[in-house]
Amino acid sequence: MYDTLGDALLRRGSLLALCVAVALLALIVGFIVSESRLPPAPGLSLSDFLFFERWDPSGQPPKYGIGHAWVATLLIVGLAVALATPLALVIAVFLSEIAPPAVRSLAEPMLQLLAGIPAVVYGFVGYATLVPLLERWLPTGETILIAAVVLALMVLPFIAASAAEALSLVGRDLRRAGLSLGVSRWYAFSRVTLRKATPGVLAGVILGMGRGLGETLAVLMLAGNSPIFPDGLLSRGQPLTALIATDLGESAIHSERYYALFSAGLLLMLSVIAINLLVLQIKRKFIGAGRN
Amino acid sequence: MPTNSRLSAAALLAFAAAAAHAQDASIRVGGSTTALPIISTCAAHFMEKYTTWDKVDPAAGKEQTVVYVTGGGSGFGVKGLLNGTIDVGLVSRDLKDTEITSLNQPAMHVFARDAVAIATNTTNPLAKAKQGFSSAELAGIFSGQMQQLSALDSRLPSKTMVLLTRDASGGVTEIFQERVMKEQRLAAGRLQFPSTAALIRKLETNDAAIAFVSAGAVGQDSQLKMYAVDGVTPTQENIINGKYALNRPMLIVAKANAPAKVQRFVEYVLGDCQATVREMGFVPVRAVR
Repeated sequence: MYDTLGDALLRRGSLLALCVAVALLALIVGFIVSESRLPPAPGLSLSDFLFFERWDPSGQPPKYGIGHAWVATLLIVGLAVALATPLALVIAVFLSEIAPPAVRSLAEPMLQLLAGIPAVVYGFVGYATLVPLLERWLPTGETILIAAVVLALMVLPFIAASAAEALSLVGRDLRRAGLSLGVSRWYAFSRVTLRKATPGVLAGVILGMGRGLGETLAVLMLAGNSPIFPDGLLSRGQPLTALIATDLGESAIHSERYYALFSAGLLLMLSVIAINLLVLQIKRKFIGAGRN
Repeated sequence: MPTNSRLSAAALLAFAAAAAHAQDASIRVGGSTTALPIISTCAAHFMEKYTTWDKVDPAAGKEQTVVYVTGGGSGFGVKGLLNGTIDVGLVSRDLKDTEITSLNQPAMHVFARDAVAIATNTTNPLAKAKQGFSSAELAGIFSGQMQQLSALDSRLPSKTMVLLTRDASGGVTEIFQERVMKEQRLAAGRLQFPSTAALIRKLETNDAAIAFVSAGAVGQDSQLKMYAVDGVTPTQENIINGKYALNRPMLIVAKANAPAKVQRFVEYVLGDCQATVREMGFVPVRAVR
């Protein structure tokens, strides 16, 4: 009797908790959708808003275009992931293939620690070290490049951890079967383990990309927060997250600027959701393939 | 008018709680976020000096003195006063005629002025070559049409100027756009800083940087140089008498016939609090006691 009551409470309780969490998520998504207007202002076409118009809400007449922010976001996240992935792969291979258990038990928590450092700390360290360094040659050290380098450090632990997990998920028997055929360790790794783990590693890379898209504070500090179309890696820029953080405090509720920022947030949210769905899809395939 | 929705929502919650606890034993102040740091410091001093209301006004009761201060933006400073959410409004601009009418001839006082200074650091080549700029030159620089130092003066090197501004939440951007840029747009390549302190740090270390920034923040900094605009230097005198055009009033507004407590607080801001106005980097409008 007592057990069944406890069981029922646990079942109902956890169901309730799940419902609350899902409802909360739905409310957030719903709110952002309901506060967005595409395009956000009359007389502004969708393509101008997304691609061509500049961002100058305090000029006369005000202009609302988020193309510059998209370009900055894509450049910074793309470069950061490109820089972090090779390093993360090497770390993952070391952790899953080479490291003795003692080293692994030390290195894995370190990697988690790296993931737990607050963004503002990364941003500040970059601001105090890399920005003055670059300023020896450039007018300002705040650049897309520096933002991407620091962001690479921030997404590195995410990519490395998922890649290591994917590599160690490949069955030990499969690996041993390879080795027993007399091939070298490298051959077994590159032809068997890596091939089998590729979808998992890819999921890690995409996860890192999603993490990078949402990062705000560090890129705001390091990219210069200039609402300009970046024309290269040494240009300044203002990623979408920085644009929203900078401007939302000053937008009157239900003004054109407010709609424009919520629409930018909606697009950012949709891309992060799309990325997560992609990761789920890849993982599902990977696990399905692993069972066969 | 810029409003900060999150801030005002938080303020309303705070007020609801405040109203439930101490209905008439407190006064509520809100509005301009530029004025917020000054007034919250003043309110803290006020509460320290007069611990109970009877020390402020002998006719009042012995309840503890409580002054709530919140932001919400200049617009909220007027709206909140109208609908009774606050007893004292803070507004960082002149009141519009319609606002004065709807508030029914409120008691309003300028308690400080906020000026925009043009500044570089002292090692910038501009610091030796120039004492001031014309409005047209400033519009040229900050719109990005004049990018090199040599465009201003042929004797200067052809070095690219770095433009520093506060983000849009700094009231200085509004004044600068209105009085200097007018129809022109601020250059997209400008660096935007979330706080005046961060901007000043950058200005101190970058020899190519030029900024428009709250004058009070530059005043005491020996590493920085302030420039005249259209031949007028931003001294306290020129700011108060209006010769230095890049400035705006900061108003404290109460309803006509406000309770004695509210009137005493306004008097305190215009009196003892003027020292705080200066400490915070703004221009006091009365003699500092």
